[in-house]
Amino acid sequence: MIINRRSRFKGVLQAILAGVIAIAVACPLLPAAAQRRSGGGGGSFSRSGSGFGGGSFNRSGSSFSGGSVGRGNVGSSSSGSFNRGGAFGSRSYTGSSSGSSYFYGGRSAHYYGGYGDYWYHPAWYYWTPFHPAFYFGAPYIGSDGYYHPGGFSIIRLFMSLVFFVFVLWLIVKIFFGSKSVRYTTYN
Amino acid sequence: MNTMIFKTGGDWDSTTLFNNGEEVLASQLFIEIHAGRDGWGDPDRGGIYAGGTINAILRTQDDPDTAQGIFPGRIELDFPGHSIIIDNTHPYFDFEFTRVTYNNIDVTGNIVDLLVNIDADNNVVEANITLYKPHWLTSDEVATYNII
Repeated sequence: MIINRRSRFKGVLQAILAGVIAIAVACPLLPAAAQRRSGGGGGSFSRSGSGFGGGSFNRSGSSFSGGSVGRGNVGSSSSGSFNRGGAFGSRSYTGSSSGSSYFYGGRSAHYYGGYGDYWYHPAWYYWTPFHPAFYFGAPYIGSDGYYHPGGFSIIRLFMSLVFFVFVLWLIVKIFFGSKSVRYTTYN
Repeated sequence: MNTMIFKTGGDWDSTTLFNNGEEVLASQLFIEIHAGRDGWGDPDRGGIYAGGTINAILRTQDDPDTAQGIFPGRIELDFPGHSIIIDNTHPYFDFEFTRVTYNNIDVTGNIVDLLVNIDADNNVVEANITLYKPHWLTSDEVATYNII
């Protein structure tokens, strides 16, 4: 069996085009794009009927004590003062720019938005392996009543590896299709 | 127009050639096709559609020095375990109108080489066909089938 290699000229234009596609695939990794989104349509404080009166979450200096984020009582049946029950929804990125504070892990912390808003109200691209939170499970309420971060997901890591290998193979297949030809003989 | 049927069981006694229903006492049957190559001469996809050459002649026992053309027409070649049908009914025997079937599979777009040489005077019998078989995941294959 003889393997015959045959090289083809692939111009600079094809290499540039392959690079453009690779960059376009990796675009969701850009921090600005990853965080440029609003409340996501579920649980935003701007929803009608919330009784909040249009005030945003970015009241400077405001802090929560009884119904803070770090406590486990956010899932209680009581709707509290805002005429709404259930867990908090995602927060608007613009509303967090002033650094609103919340209670987490027994201490007051400032919220600046970002990856913590991934779970429960993700945009479609958060289900792709380009977002870091894709590789982790959703936060859960521990026995101590506090939120704990979700664990690393091996299955999602494996899925992302398969996905990236497939994308790489597809690019090579399309733009660098030159391959060896094997000669066989059948008697 | 010739419609030939060549059959062989693997020896000279079982080898027959008929043209339009009548047996032909032949000295040599020679068919050669070269197709499916790129500009560098390497095997490539396309088969007949990529251009090439065909040479198909018959020498009878009565006049073995005269090469008679087989086409335009059709010839069926039946070997043990293999069958080849070559068809070209174009009035001017244009190469692009050649159709090749191998084991009931149309290989017109895959054929690279075909050689059938049945030479009774020199006791030479050889036949093989080479096909270009593209594969999606693995390397493309240039497969040569030794017919006899």
